[in-house]
Amino acid sequence: MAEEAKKRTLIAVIGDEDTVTGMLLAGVGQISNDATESYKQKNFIVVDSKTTDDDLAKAFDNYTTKRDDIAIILINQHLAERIRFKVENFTAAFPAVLEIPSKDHPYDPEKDSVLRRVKRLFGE
Amino acid sequence: MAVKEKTIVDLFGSLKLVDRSQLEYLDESPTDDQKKSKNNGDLKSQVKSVNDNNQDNKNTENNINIDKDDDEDIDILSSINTASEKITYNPIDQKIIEYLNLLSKLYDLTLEIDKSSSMGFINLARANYVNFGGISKRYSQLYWDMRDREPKYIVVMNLTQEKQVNFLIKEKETPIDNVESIGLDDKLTEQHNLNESNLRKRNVANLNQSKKVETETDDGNSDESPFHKEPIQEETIKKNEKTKKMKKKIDKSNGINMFGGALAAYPLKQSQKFFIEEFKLLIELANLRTSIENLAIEISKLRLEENSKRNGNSLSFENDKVNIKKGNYNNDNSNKNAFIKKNETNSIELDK
Repeated sequence: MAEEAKKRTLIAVIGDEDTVTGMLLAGVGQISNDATESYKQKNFIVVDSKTTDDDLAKAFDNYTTKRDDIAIILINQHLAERIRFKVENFTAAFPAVLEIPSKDHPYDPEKDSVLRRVKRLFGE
Repeated sequence: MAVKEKTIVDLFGSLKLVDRSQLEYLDESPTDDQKKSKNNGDLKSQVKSVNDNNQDNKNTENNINIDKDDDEDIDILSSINTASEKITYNPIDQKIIEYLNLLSKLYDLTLEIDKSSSMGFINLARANYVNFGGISKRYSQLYWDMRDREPKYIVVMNLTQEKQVNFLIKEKETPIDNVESIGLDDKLTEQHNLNESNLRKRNVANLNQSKKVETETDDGNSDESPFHKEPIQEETIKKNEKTKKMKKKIDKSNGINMFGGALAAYPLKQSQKFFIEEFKLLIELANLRTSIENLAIEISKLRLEENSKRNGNSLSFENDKVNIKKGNYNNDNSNKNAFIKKNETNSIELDK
């Protein structure tokens, strides 16, 4: 587990254009055009109106299971809602999945998966 | 005037606080008992007498003992701390208190993240307006520099003594290859690079000959004459030395360089600051969430143990599985056991 943890250093971003722009400005982006597989070339994906739920789910799977160098996944909350079944059923320790607000969709604690578990714990 | 008491959390009902503002009213309108004690200047007895009048307060351990000097102010916080030390909690209650504290921290963090992200988006919108003057063009994916790059910030995961994962931000050291240099004169820099490269120098003999010719034709004191022409190589070397000092090494991993670097709009640089702030807060959020999830698992374990004791069962935890030995397990599928799954072999797996 310690060896796995050492490999995982990157932060992946699944979000709309402005969110990804912001995270790239922060210095999180990694691009390697030499990589043979498409999901290894970049650690960010821009989701727009043309992106389907299947594409979203595939991207989530790529960053969680196929890539072994990602420590944290940042995903917009409204996009996580579209693939809620995937996000809830993902129970592995790494990578950590964080739901972040976007420009058009501010943070809603009722939709957060961690806080939903809190409610269940207290019997609501 | 009776002192009003507040409860911290309705879940517990045992721990109570004395409102400081209400305590001050004691001096203004004291009861008979309090009048007597006031004459002595003993606040301790005042509080005790108020607590005795209070019918809800059955547990004597919850009485707050305040030692007061005549001229000193009452430090209620310190008195509450001392009182809390005397109170004994169930292990589950202790865990739940920690859990609720973490939840309040989580709530505060999410508010801060919301603020910094909204400021970042506002400045990004300003940059789009300033740079492009309209809605049609903006800092979109078409504008990004998609050449190979490394991230500026990476995450390092540490395992704590409690077997908890802790994320730390580390600024990645930029390797030499990743650094780009810009000189004042691009042509001169190219020549400079050629001079330093391992390419075979051609026409060196011709150049040397031209040097000799020039030196031969010149008169004495050639260095002092204003019209003295130095050989080409020496000129370029001198200029290149100047450009070396003026060169700025650009860090490719800096996010602003994806959007034009020095030519980027000022609001874009402002938005970068807010997004970096947001990023650091997100890492704190990740650490908080892992600690919350671990606490939730511990609470569910403790509840299982309690339930099993009531039913006369004995539990053993092995590798995230719970084995029940005796008794009828309480098949209560209530939401309280959300972290627990059932197996056919009467062993239960804890859901992380």
